[in-house]
Amino acid sequence: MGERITIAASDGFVLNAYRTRPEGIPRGGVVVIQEVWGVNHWISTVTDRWAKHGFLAIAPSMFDRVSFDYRSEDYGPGGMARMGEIMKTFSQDKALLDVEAAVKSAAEGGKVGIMGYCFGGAVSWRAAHAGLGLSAASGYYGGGIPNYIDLAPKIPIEMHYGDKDTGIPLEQVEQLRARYPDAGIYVYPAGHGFCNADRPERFDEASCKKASARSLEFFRKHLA
Amino acid sequence: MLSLEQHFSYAEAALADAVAAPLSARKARLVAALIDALIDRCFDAGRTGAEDILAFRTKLLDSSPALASVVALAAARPDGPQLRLDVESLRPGVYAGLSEAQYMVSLYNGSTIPRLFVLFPDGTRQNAPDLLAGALDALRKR
Repeated sequence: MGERITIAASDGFVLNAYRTRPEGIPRGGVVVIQEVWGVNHWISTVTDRWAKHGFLAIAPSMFDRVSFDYRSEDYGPGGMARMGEIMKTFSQDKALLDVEAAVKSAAEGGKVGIMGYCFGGAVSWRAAHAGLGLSAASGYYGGGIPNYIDLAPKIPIEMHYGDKDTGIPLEQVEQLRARYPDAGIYVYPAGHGFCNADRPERFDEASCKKASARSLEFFRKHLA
Repeated sequence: MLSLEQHFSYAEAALADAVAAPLSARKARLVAALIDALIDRCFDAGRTGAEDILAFRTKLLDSSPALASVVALAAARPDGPQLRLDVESLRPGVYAGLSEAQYMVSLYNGSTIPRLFVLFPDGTRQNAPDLLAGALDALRKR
């Protein structure tokens, strides 16, 4: 449904992205930020789904600066080890340049929201703090809350976490909710990665359905 | 009144919850309190050979450092051991024992992971779920 394209960041770096256009006039733009496995099959389906909802959706390849066009379907130990290598030289600051490039591309569809999973959830929060021309953010189980709790969002934001996540302490989610009472901080009876439909052992359909409906409603409200 | 075995089952279920959520101080606190109470239930069940409940507790805690630590934690004295969520740096390539979620989160957080520790007054610390499991195991085998 979508197409593989390239986009340019403000520092001249050219990265890959997967973009899907909706039928008819877009109701806004959505930037989809990947998990650590890159813009793989599942992320492509998420991007396509946003287009079906009427948004111009784009998923930038966030690890291109380290490993060009990296994407993996290997959720096993081999894929994990590869990720470990990639992340050794990954830069959070440069990553926001790539997000910004994706926002500019998605802005063709109108106001832009950002959403992402795991790694992408944390990036969504950081992007909401940076602004980057975004209008709303909806992040999923972004780990390392102590590393971003002080970064106050400049735009409306909501976050989704699982109460059985062994990588994100529920107490930290509670602190985030207390710190930002106006943000939608939602908790589901699920573990980490509960929205990845390509991983049946992780996928929690009921929780993901509920969270995804919230994201859709949130973006419809803030990107209209 | 629950039987001793039912008390054990309840504590073991609470421990399983704490192990499944290894970063939850709330769940860890509950297990510590249950273990402390379970010691009393063991005395109530009889055949301890101890003169009184205090003597029984002292003898038991002397026999197991893990039990002694957990009981001290349950006492919640300001100068006693405390539960603390600390960030730990991972040595490159050393990921054994991490859940997948912990590993993934560590990747984009500078190779650090949060862990729930029992922090002792002398500055030493022990992984909380491991300590609780060791204490309950010691009580089972007493």
